[in-house]
This record gives sequence, C-alpha cells and structure tokens, in this order.
Amino acid sequence: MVIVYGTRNNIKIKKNLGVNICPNCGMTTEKVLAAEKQQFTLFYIPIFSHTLRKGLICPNCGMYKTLTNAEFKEMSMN
Amino acid sequence: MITAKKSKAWIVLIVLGVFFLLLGILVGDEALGVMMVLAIVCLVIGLIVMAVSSKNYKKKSAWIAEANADGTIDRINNSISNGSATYFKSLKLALTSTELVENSNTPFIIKYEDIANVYRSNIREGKYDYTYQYIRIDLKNGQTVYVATVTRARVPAEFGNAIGTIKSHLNAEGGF
Ligand SMILES: [Zn+2]
Repeated sequence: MVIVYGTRNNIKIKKNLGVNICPNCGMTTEKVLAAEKQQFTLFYIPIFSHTLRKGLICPNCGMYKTLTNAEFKEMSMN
Repeated sequence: MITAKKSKAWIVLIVLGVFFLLLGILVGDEALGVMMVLAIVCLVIGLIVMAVSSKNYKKKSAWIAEANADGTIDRINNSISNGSATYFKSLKLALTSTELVENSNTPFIIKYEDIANVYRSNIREGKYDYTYQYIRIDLKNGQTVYVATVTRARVPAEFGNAIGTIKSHLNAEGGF
C-alpha cells in the first residue's frame, strides 16, 4: 500500500504593526508580525503542525526578521 | 557563456528503458511484466524530455540569432571570456558593465539604466513562495521581472554576490 505523506507550510499573520521601511526591498509597507507553521500531512490531511519561525515579515519581498519567543510575545501584546 | 545547449538527460532515460526491456526478456516470467512497465515509463519520459529539450534548444538558438544580429551576444560572450563581465553559473545569469542577461530557456536582456530597484524576494506575483527565492527586479516602466530562481533551503553564495554586483552597477549609473 502506498502511503502519501508530506509537509505543507503556511504563514499566520498575528498583527499589523504600522508602516515601516523594509531594509531588504526599501519599500514602505506594513510591518507584519507573523508565524510560519509547517503541517505534516497524511493523504493530504494535516495531522499535526509546528512553528518553524516567528518574526516580522515584509509583505512586499517576504523577508523575515526572526524574533525570539519573548520578543514575539511582547510585540503581539503591545 | 550565452549559448543554446542540448540537454542529454533523455539519452540516460532511453538507455535505462532499453536496459529494463532487455532485463525483462532475459529474466522472463514474473519479472517480465514489472520490467516492461519500468521500460515503457522510462522510454515515454525519455521521449517527452527529448521533445521538450529539442524545442527549448530551437527556441533559444532563434533568440540568440536574433539578439546577435547587431553582435550583442558575441560582445557579451567576449566580456565573459576576458573577465569584464561575470557569469553566475548556478543562477544562469550574466552581468556585464551595462546589462543583465538571463541565460535560461527563456532568455532576456535588461539594461541597468531601465532598473528602478533590485532585491531578494520570497514573494512571486503576490504569492509567498515556501520553496524558492528569487532576485526581483522592478523596472522603471512598472514591470517586475524575476531572475535567478534558487531553492530557499540551499541558496548559493553566488545569489548574494549577484545582487551586490547588480546594485553596484546601479550605483555606478547614479540612479539608485
Ligand atoms: Zn521588503
């Protein structure tokens, strides 16, 4: 029997932190607090997921500034 | 070098197909069916790869001939040979002193003077890409071009070097 398994990533946006100039692309965009999650799938059905990284992401170029758990928690509460 | 190259991958598949075919005939009986399926799969994929690579080769040869009507490709290849231009093999990208050449199956040339902004991007056409990373080029006419597609998990050192080289040329142009 063939077992179809794999992983699927997705980004969950937690909060918009206002306008910011991205150091990578130089565009003025919303500074977004986000978490990238990876789901393990069995026959295309998500079984469990874990967080790959948390940080600030630029909506124009997709570059991450990775944050520590403490920094992420503080920013999401402010 | 900016040249049209013939892919040889199809030869391996055809040889593998013939190998499975002969192995099936030699072993016979129960193995024959499995070997036949493997042989047919290899031969069919081999033929598809051959047709696609031949089409790409013809298309690229035609593009090179057209772009070289005024000697542009010869000039770029000479610049790569004498070291005044850099060729990034893993990115299929050539950077001369005045232009960028995408050396893929769908090649094109962009002049630095037409570029408004350049940076690495994980987003392509508005969609976040979990697998690949690109060099995004925003042109002054509002168009966006993506070059140097690399796997995010294995970004070669050439990737950062290429962005740095393009930026230094844009700085030299004075418009960045
Ligand atoms: Zn950005």
